Amino acid sequence: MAMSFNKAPGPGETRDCTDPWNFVIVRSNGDVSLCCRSEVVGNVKRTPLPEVLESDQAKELRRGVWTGKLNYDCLRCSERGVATIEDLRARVRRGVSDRAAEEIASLRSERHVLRQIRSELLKERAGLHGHVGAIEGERDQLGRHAATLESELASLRAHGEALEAELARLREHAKVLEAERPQLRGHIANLEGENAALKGHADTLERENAGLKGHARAMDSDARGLREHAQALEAELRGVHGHAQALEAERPHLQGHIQNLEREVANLHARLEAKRNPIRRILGLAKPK
Amino acid sequence: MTSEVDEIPPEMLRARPRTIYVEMTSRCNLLCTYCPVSQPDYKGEDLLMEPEALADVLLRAQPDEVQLSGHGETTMLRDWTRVARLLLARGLPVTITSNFAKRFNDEEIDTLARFRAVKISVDTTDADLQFQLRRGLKLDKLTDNLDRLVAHCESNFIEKPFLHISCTITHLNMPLVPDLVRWTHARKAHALALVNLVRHPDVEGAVKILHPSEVDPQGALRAIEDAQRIADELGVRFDMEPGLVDSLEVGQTWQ
Repeated sequence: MAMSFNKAPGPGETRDCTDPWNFVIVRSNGDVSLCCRSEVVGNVKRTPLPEVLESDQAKELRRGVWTGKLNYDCLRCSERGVATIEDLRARVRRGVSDRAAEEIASLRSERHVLRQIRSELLKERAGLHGHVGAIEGERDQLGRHAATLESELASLRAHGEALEAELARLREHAKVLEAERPQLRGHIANLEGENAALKGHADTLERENAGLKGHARAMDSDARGLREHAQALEAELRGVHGHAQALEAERPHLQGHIQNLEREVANLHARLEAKRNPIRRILGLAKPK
Repeated sequence: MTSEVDEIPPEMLRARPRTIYVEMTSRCNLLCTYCPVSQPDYKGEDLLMEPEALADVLLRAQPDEVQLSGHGETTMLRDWTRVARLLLARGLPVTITSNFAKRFNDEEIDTLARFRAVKISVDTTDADLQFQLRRGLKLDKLTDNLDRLVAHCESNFIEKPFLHISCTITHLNMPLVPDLVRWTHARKAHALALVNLVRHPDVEGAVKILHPSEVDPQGALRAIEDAQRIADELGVRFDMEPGLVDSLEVGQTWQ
């Protein structure tokens, strides 16, 4: 059970609440109550809302607050305070009397007119908003363009500064070069002198070269003579070789012939000996040792 | 003897509905410790009513305010903006109470911007305590939604809805109410209202809450006094349910 904390109305008092007259809550299941905490007085799924609001249960709730004979829910209500019955009734009368209803209707009518005026004003404002929007769009665009230009300007300034720094550096470099120039001029003069000397030397070399070329041509001529002589010698050599080969080929034959001759000489010696021996015996000559 | 009941003129029993609450859903995306939604036997459901039919019913009553709220969180319904825009298009003065727990998309922010009033439940500026009390609510997300709503109104020249911060008082957040007034001002909201606690049975696993009158009623009254002074200085409207002050001054408990 939930606990609530409040102050209970005393004698002549009631709950300071006009909710039963002017408040409705339709729950998600269709139940209708006349405040957040009170009992259900009907259900819109079964009964139209206007009838629910005029139901006996609803009237009983109003009656209870009107008279101060509160039901348990109203007694323990933690939301509203306490008022005298007379004060509460005066407020209810103001809220529900026909005059009040007429006033309310009049006010609603006035509110309706004011809402129409407001609606017109809102339309006008919307139109102005469109205009403002276009201007703002243009402003944004110009702002972006200005930002781009400023960015570009900043970039150019930076570039200019870089160029100036480079210029200063180049000026310094030029000074250094100017200082270096006389020295370089002397060096160039030296180089030109050296160049002239080298040209003279080159001429000498060319002349020498021409002499050498003549000598070379004579040498070439000599070489050609020598080559021809060599060729003749080679031809002669080849002839000698041929002759030598013929001699070589003849040598075995001659060797055979020599051997034959030698055998023949040996035979002749043998025959001679043979003829000498009888003679020697006859002569009494000993055989020579 | 004539009873007081008999003295009631019949016309005094007639209804003159000014404010109609329509509970689009009784389901919620939070489980606040002090809310009946947190009770174990609580069951929520969605209102099954065609928006056109709902608009017809409401228009007949000509209310000054149609509040699309109840126990549940309307903005967790998928097509809540469609219903709201239909009612707005029919000229009904729509308001809402929301926990601002989920991050709203641009279309939802624009819909909220068209409302007559938006009441946002914020109990404290202490994010950790807020998370404990509301069980799941992240203060930075809520703040972001609120800031976006205000910025949307300002950038689109829409008249800002009346922004009402609603704070349910417990013994834990009571001392921090003056800070909440400053927060309300910083967020460009118009008013801060203190809601008297109805203490339901303790919820298992949740931080235990007590009514300030059970702990330190005098300290609570001092905090309210400070908050009122700061609100006056900053130009913030400061409301409280009369039952809250009564309970702190007199201290009557009902079960």
